[in-house]
Amino acid sequence: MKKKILIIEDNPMIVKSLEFKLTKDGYQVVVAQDGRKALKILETDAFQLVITDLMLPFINGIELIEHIKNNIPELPVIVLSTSKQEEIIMDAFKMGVNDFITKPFSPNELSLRVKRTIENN
Amino acid sequence: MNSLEHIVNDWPWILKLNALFIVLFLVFIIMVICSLVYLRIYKNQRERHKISYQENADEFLNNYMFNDDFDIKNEIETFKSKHLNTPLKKKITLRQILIYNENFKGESSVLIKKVFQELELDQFVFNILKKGSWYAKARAIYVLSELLVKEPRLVSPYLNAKHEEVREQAIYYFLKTATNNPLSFFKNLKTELTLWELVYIEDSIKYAYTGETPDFSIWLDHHLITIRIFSIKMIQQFNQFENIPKIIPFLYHENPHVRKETIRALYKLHYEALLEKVIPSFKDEEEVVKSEIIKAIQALGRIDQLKELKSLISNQDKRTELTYLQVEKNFMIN
Amino acid sequence: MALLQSTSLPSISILAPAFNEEANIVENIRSLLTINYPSYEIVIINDGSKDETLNRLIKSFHLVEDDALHYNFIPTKEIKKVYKSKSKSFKNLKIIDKENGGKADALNTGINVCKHGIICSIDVDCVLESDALLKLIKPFLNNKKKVIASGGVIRIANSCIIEDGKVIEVKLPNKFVARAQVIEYFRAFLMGRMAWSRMDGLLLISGAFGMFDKNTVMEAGGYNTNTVGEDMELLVRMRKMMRARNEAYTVGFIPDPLCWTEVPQDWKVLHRQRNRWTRGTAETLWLHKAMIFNPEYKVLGMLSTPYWLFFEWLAPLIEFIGIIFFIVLLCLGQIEWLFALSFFLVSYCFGILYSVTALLFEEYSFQQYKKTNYIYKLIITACLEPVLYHPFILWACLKGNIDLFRGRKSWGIMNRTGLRNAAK
Repeated sequence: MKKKILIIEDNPMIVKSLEFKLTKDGYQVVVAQDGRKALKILETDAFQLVITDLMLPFINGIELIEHIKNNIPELPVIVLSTSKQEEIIMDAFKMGVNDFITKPFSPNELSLRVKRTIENN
Repeated sequence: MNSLEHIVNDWPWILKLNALFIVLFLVFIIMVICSLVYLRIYKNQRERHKISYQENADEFLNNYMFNDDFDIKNEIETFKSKHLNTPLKKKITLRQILIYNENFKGESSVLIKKVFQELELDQFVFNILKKGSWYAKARAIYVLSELLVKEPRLVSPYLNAKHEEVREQAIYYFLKTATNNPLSFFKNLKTELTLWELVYIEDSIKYAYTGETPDFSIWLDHHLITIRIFSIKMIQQFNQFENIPKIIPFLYHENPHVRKETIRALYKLHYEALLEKVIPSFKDEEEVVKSEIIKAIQALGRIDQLKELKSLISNQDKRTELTYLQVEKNFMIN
Repeated sequence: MALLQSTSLPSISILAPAFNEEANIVENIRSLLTINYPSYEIVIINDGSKDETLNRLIKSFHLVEDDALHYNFIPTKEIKKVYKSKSKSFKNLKIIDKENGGKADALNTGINVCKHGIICSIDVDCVLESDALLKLIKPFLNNKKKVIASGGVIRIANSCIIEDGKVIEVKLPNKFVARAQVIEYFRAFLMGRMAWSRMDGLLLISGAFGMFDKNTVMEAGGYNTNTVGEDMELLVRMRKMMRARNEAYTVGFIPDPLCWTEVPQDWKVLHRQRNRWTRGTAETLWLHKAMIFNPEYKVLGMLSTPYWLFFEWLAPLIEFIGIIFFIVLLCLGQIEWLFALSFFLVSYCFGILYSVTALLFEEYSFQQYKKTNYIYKLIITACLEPVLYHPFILWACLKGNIDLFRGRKSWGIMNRTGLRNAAK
């Protein structure tokens, strides 16, 4: 069975490319444009990985990660964010995030890290 | 019909005039309403087209970047003939290329710059730069900057363009594409820069320019005063301690804003001998400089040095007094 | 390129007076805290609210007393306490609690206490576009002349979908009275103010959202607490002062929609608002009557102030006299109906032409109302507005003049519900 990945990101171009690339890599991809929708999807569906932005409409990434780590602790999370502030990156890792990728990013590298994260779990 | 003409002919002039105006206004109203409706339909249609063009462009670009089985050579030819045959299609594809370029780095970012040239969109941009309106030109220069297209001779005339938006983009272009000496375009400038442009340059050096940090002291004797102030500020922001001796003479410059910026730069660079140079002239200084001297004492001095100044602040000068009191309070707390 | 990370843009102090705003104040401030600008502080001035405004703020933002020094450059009512937040997330928030003194006095207090050199006065319930400050600051930095103030376009938020302090979807107001104001605002901002700013003849920057150079405001003496038209009066006084000093200066205007505000949907509230605008205009013109037809003030003296005198202040009076005259003639049976009708149609057609031209400008430039049937609704509104809406405004303006001569100074009960002098 294909591994399922949830992408939470509000930039449609990034979403399109990630979807394209990860589908090519053989994953099944589900997209949520904002934190609120993501929570709803997570309630009904099971995933092997979540890739999320931090700046999101309605419910921001940090809140979302907190929710995931409290309720589905085994689900790995990769953050994809423009933030270069060390404080924020440190906070994210403290919350149990598995990987942190800053934008602009290399899709090939992201694909490798996705593979590694899923395999390690 | 005849009888109507008869009636109108019998009207006094004022009625005729009014009738003329009513007809005139009505015609205009109908014309305006027609253009309103036409514009709306045109814009709606354009929006719909834009969406489909965008989908085509995305499909092509994603395949180009991520699909190893993509027959690049043939696909480029097909895309060019089918999906790049109108200016709007080119513009939309260009916009998508810029978005991908902005978000990706590594291999994909190299590919996106390559596809820009393979699709011959660079020629399209050069044409806009030659013939377009000023806002299209500004946009074109922006595209060249983002995609790092090296055509400095094409862009350089726009450094002194009439429209500030074009000038801004030209400045940005030189900073973004420079690999060393990013401020060399300063020598081509003829008029004082506005604050906005200076902010723009500063930001571009910090965030867009990727080469080695330039030595700002070479611009300290530039004929434009704004560039001198800018250089002093940059020497401080980039901690160029080696340039401290070169900016000290500006403590005695005739322009108070130059003096103020110099004092600020020197105390931020922890230049210990600053206070003995500026405190003696405090009494006769301008208001803006006075406050800066007080702040310098906060950074480098002692409370007794501050208190010596108290009697020198005039009762009228409330702002300096307030700065004084604030700094005094900070001394007490620490 | 976005300049949003720049550390060298000037810092801005946002001043927002609040009076009995307990219902929405916390929400409104949260929305202000999300503005995109590298360096700004928000100063909320609680103007002696009688409700729970202050307590809600203290609780929601973890306020503690702020003991920073400030000086009363402009005399104001007494400050009871200044607060700041304990929490880092709200470190650019400052709350001033003071005795009630009216909007102008509240803004003056804010000017005295705030830290930065550029101030931005806003209505606390306005919804700002996220890049509003960045756009409004641009004229200050981009001009060879000194810029003393800049203003932007106010848009109408009635019926729009607003979430988290952002306009998510622009909708045309459901009620006719609000739609008529949409047309009115188009005329005022896209045609009127654009043209005046082109000639550097702007006399008013809406109190709902305007940016000022703090030093110039302080040198002019701050807001006048004795008028209900404090926003207009301040700008006129600042311009007068700059002229007296013979210093080159200008006032900036940004045509982009930057600020969304609710307009009155209730005829009674609308009446009070227009009543007040009329008094504000008249008071300002009276205070600065020396400028009117004074060639020394160039465009301001020869065009702007006469325009405001005749077309903003006196026009309703002249129109009213016309109506009275018409009624008298009607009673005496002296009306030539053909003539009367022709004059009526000329002015009616002209009014509609003016409105639809404003609509065309909007359609050509910003096209905020995207749905196709909105355009038809707006055209119909433009046709009905002169007969269904305008007479009411006329009456409100007349009432304003009557109240003025009777010496009524107050803001009316609607004190600060966010309906400021915006469209003139």
